[in-house]
Amino acid sequence: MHTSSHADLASMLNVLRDPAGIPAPPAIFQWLMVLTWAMHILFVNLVLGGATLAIASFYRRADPLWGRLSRAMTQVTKIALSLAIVLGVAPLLFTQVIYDPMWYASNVLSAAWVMGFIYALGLGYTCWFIFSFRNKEGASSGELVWAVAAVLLFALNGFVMHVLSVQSILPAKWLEWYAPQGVPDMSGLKVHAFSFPRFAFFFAAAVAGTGIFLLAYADYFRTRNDFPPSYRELCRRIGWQWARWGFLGQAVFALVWFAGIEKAGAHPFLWVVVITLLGSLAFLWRRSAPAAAGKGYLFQGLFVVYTLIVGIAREEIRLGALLPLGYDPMTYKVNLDLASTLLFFTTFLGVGGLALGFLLAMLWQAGRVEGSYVAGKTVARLSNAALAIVLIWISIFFAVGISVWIRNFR
Amino acid sequence: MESLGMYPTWYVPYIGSGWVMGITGTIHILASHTSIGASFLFALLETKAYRENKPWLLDYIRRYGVFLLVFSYIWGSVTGPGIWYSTTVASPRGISGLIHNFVWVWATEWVFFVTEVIGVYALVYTIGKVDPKTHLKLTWLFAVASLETLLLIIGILSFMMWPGGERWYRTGSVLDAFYNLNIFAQMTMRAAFMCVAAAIVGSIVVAGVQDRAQRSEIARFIAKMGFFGLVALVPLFYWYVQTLPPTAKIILAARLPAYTPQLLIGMLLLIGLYLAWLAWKPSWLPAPVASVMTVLLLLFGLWPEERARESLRKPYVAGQYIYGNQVISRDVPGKGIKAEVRAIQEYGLLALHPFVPADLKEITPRNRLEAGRMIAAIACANCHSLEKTGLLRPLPAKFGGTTDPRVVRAFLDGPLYTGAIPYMPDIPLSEKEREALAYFIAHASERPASLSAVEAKPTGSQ
Ligand code: HEC
Ligand code: HEM
Repeated sequence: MHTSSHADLASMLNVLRDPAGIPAPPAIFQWLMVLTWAMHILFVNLVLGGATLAIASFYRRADPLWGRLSRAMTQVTKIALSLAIVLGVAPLLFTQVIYDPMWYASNVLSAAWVMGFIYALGLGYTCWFIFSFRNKEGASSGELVWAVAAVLLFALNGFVMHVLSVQSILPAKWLEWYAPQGVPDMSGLKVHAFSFPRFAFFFAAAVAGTGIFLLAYADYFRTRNDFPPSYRELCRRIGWQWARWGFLGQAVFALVWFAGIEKAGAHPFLWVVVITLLGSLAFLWRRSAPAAAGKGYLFQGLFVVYTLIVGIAREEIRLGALLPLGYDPMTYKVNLDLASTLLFFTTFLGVGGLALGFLLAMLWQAGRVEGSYVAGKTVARLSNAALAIVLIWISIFFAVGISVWIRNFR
Repeated sequence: MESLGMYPTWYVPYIGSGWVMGITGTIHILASHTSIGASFLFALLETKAYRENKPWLLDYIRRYGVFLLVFSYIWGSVTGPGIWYSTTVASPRGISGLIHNFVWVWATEWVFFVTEVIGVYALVYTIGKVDPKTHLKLTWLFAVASLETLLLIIGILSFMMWPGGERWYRTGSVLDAFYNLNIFAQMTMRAAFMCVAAAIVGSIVVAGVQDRAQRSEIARFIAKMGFFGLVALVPLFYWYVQTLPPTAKIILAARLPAYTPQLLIGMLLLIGLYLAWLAWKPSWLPAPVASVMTVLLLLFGLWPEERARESLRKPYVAGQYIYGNQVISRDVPGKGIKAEVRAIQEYGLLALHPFVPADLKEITPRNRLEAGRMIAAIACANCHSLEKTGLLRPLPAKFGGTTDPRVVRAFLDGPLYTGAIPYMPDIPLSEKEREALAYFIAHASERPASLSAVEAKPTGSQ
């Protein structure tokens, strides 16, 4: 059997990099990748956890409060899924900018699964939509088929994501996976790597994330009379429970996962994750659900920060696997392209700030009132600014475009 | 000798990985174009509702919106990454080239995607909840943001066809790549198509409007929009063809299925008639008819269009510098990219490919068949099925089903070696590689139908 020597592997990984280089310093892409991945996984948590909770509470729907919770979580899952997908696009983009050798090799090796991922996602999404149309008051148990099918498909998606991530950081094994005993297998039908504690960690995170979300949810609707205290207390109680068990699961799986990593002790953010988890556990077990009343947003905010830390730890693990093999993303060839870099950052801040700002502010406020909502001064101003910015954007797009086009082709 | 940055190969028997991409792409194009077209339909209708005080129009918008959530947004947002993933596994260096040139453009598009996804939920679920004026602004914001996703992706898609001149190769600048010769023609053509798609898909929902007067009014409105798109489509298509590279014009003239023009004209007439019917007799419009129209549009409008677009780009996948078979065809000094064809000629493809197992690097009589298969998979399979009965320009058939390796050799040594065929890459394989490939292709022609027999006994390599 043939095993690549260390130097061969390093040179192969670097040769696989795109010869076009990248248009800005690698650290920018790395940070954007970690940041957007954290956003992605926050909503993935809500998909996996929210769907599970919707199903669990569907069983108890004889109690109207539980029925209501099931319906609410059904909608939350639906919207979270749309956001998880769209937020997944950004890390997908950035990871293949600086880790293209890893991402492409890993994907091609399990290509059939990659395509299966897409169609499983579409089917799961469709099943969940069907469930969301049918999970009404008095729904029959048969409707659960849609929900269960969807959750299984989502779990399959998580599995594929996980496998691709793990395969990508084991380049020393690629050739053996591709051509076992020297015979190439181009079917892409196999998955080659799986790490149970790492996989399970994300499911525990889903439980915890959904629990924390419920705490904030219970606070958000306190201004509305059609959300009675009994319902909000139920949410808070379940939220606390899920947070407890979810954090416990994460702590256990994180310890097992990290224990299997070479030189884990040298990665500071792994320590931060472990300490945060243990601290949270101590807090959650010493206090009880009512302690969360009025602190939902705080917990939610802390959970976002914690998820970002998990993202950084995950990046440390990747670097810890690749740097010793001679692959350093910071040495990627840069072909600076200021125009397109500027395009992104101005759009990100301008459109992202104003257009998204308007939508979120409006939704936030509208959700808090019963019945109809009339936009206040701030939201009205934001709406005008949002429209203005997207129109200005278009004019710049065409002004620059036409002048470049005329210069180049006339 | 450095190796080349080539990845493993994914090979789908019979249909070829290209078809997997094609199917995913076709679904995506219908879904995404419909939703952008519909977003403008919503904005226009809602403006009408606001000005003429016809709140029932909002009811149609809401219903079309929910329908779109399922029809377009689910499958549009899934097949969007789907195209990307399928390109990744079928053509990793092609997508990599695009990503590394256009990452910021894509990232910018992503900002609009996020706006769009949040926007569509806001739009549908707050009809009747927020005040009409705010909602109207929201709908326009949604429409413009949707349009902006289109503007951004077209620059990338049209660059895939070609930059249109030499300048980008020298500067490597994203502006030169993005605002290529083809961009505006393709952009306006697609915008016109969107109006058509939104009208046809919208007619499915129109069929569900009960009140006759209301149904007629909406039907006429969307029929007008559809007509507008249809009429614009014809001159825009001609402009589009003018901006294609010369090789594409050869393919267009000689290499597309013979019935293509008739099919296109037939589709245009059919859609025209349908829209006319929609405008004149909206009272008689069963939903199934509208759905059948949508399916026809998908099967006879978009699928051939997608296949044609894929063919027109040959032999390249991106920017006329990356071949379909993942080899870089020319220097791009602006980016410091070097052509790889000469290295292949000098050292051989197998020797340079980092994912070729050690046993196959050196071709011997014993591993000749297996080496030939590997070469075919790497160098040809992106554009050709390897099975006799494959669907994608099957190689054995392209060689007339010959079982004589010498006949195949003549082609490999001649036109393919010198790159004399405009729609195929220049593939100067080494002497031994040509021998192995010829042997393999002749062998594949001999086999009754499937290559599984070839795959089942790769004994030579142990
Ligand atoms: C980038 C895409 C691409 C690659 C890679 C490619 N071909 Fe082709 N090939 C084409 C196209 C397009 C045609 C025209 C097919 C048609 O008639 O529909 C073609 C046609 C052919 C023909 C018929 C000759 C003719 O003029 O119609 C042969 C023989 C052939 N290819 C052999 C090969 C071999 C052998 C390889 C690999 C060493 C290969 N091709 C790689 C795109 C490709
Ligand atoms: C229900 C659907 C999905 C689920 C359950 C899911 C789940 C996950 C999980 C668990 C991980 C972490 C894996 C690990 O580190 O072991 C992950 C990472 C990731 N996901 Fe998803 N995901 C989903 C959909 C998507 C979609 C649609 C996209 C792209 C558009 C996407 C893009 C990514 C990316 C880019 C990563 C990181 C890869 C890397 O760091 O190299 N995900 N996802």
